Amino acid sequence: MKYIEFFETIRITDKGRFGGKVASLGEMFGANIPVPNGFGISIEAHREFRDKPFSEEFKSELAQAFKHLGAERVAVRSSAIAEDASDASWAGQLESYLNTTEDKLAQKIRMCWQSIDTKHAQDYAKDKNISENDLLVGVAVQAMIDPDSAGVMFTANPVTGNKNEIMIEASYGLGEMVVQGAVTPDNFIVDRTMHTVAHFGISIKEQMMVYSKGKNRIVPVPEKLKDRSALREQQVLELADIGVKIEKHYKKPQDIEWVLKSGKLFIVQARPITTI
Amino acid sequence: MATKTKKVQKLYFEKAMEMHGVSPLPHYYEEIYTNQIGLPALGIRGDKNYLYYSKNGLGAGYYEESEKKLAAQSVYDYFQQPGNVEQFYNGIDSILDELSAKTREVNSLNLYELDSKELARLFMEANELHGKIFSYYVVSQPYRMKLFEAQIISELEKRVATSRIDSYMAVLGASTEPTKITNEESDWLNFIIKYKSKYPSASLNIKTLKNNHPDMYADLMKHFENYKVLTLGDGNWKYNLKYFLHNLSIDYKKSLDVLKQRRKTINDHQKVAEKHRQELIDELYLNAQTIENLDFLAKMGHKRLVMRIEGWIPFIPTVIKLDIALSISLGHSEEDGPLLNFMDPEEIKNIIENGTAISSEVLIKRIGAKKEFLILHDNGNYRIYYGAQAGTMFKELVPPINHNSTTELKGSTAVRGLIRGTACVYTWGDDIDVKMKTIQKHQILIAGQTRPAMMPIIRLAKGIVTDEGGVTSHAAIISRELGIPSVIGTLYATQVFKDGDPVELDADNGVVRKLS
Repeated sequence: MKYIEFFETIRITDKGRFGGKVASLGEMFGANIPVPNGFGISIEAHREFRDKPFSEEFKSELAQAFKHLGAERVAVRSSAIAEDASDASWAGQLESYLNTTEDKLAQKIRMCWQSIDTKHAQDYAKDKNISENDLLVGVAVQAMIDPDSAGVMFTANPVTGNKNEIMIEASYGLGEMVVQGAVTPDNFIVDRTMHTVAHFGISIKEQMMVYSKGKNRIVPVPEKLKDRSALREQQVLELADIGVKIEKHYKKPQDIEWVLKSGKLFIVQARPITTI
Repeated sequence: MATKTKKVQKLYFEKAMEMHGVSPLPHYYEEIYTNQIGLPALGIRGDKNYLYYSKNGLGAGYYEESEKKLAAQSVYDYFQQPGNVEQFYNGIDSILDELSAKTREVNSLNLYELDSKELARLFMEANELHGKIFSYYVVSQPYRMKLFEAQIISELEKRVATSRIDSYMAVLGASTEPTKITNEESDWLNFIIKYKSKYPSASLNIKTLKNNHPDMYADLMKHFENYKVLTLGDGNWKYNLKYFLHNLSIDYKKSLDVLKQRRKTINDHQKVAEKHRQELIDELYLNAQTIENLDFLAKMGHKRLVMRIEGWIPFIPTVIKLDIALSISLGHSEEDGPLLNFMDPEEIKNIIENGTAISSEVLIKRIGAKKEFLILHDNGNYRIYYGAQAGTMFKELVPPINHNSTTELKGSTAVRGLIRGTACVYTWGDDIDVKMKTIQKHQILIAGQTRPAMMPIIRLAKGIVTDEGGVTSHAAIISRELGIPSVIGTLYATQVFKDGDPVELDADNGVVRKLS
């Protein structure tokens, strides 16, 4: 296909074509790190269709890829060339659209492209001395998982800088609540040398974001679950193992987004920690 | 003394029962038997510092923190040994049998015909048995269970929010065996429902009842006989029929539907609690060690209640009877009441061996002792202080804390829930009948600790707060059985609140607040 490739054939070296996020997802997929399957849309599509309708060829590629993926809903995320540079974590600067159905896919892809043009994102880019030419984005389209729990993981403690500690945050439902800081998530510290959970800080989680009736909604966490851990001890350790694997692969401490579905862990995003 | 009529003896005994309180003597034996069970002795015969203070028939022990830790460790180690749990429970059962046998023996004798040597033997045997059940009882004390709790807590920490651990502990550590208290309520409701259906407008005056409805009267008396131990008041060891008459006056007014619903709740309670507990164990995927420790705490909590309501409390009248008979046979007046339980063990030995009366000087002291005494084990020295001296000493050693500005206290949740109301503060020695009236108006009961004797008040409470307690404490067990919100171990609630204070009992978070 001209504009689209599945993760299995994308590697980190394809960053120039697909942007950092897609390249990173492809790289992880190839390294047997459990990322939900998906495909990348190259920056060529952005360049060509920014100001005009999608070509029949592009439309047909999209339909074919969506079908091949076999998911009912997908996560659509922008994947900038400069995004995953080690010195600039673009957290919150570029958009991602969860639970996108096939009929909304084209619209969300456009929204990803537009997001790069917003003043907000451009200011950020200027601050970090990123070239205007780099402001084309690829798009990651990934099978959507309705997570039981989700959260973030830092393979080095972002608070203390301790590289022997992995910090994991977890809450119920979609991970957006954790990323946005809208809930106090459960917090775990894993001791890498001892391979044990050194600290359990389980909180009371009042709200969660779930996909329901065509929309992401913020709903109260069921009473029974509120004060219970969003991850089991065994899952915390399993997740930490995946974190170590990703870190070893990229040779740098990683900031990772993960989800848990029916007891199975998936990595939805990984990028270097920029503050350590 | 054989000339005394039975009637005089009975009155005399009843008077003595009212006057009697906790005495030093069982503590003396308690230590011996704690050793015999295989645990290091704490308290008066231990080699660490210890304080026991009793006022108006109610006492509490004060240990140093290091002593408590040692106690918890020794109990934990002891019960890790194979067979010791079983042996301990068997020990309790056999002492309960011995207590019953001794009571039967004493009741079968005409004590006033026995000589002082024979009475002295019976008296000391009874006290040894009392000490024995006491020693088992103290082993089950909440602070000795701390390491079992700690293991469970460390597992729960991995699974639930830290602030909610107590409330999970409360459900998981609950005994699902019915106690005498649950059985009483179930029988009571059967009794009320039966007679309310039969005689909807019976006069509840006891004399009228006896004449008009002898069958109902007979069943009421039978119920009293079966459960009278639940009516013993703190600092007042007299069985109290008024308790049941009071309940009768309240419950007879309720509709049959309400009564039947309550009976169903009570009868289903154990099943519901067990189901709930099992669900939690599954949902929290607890490991075998944790489940074992939970079972242990639940069973120990149950045994603790049994030891109390079927062991040492009902045995007190037996000890008092012997004490009185022996005091009289040594030449004391019946007016002096039971005397010997307030002696130092060495003094008693002397008195018994020589068959001599207690000197009047000592006697005056001991009468004061019924109100107040203090046992102090201070760096190897064992002393007992009596009367006002004990009070002064206690204030010096355990200075009162000023709580004027305290409005919130943290404790442990025994039963979850959030309620608001006003406080009914029960202080040791308060009159149960008086407080039964207070609790109808102010329904959040605040007490140092709850005891079976406080059941009349507890029944009417909408929430319970205690100063002391742990998973095996009476308050925890009873509030679970009754299903009312409860926060235990707040340390100072009885000092912070007074009758009528507006209270928020936030048992979801283990907090009690004074509302302004």
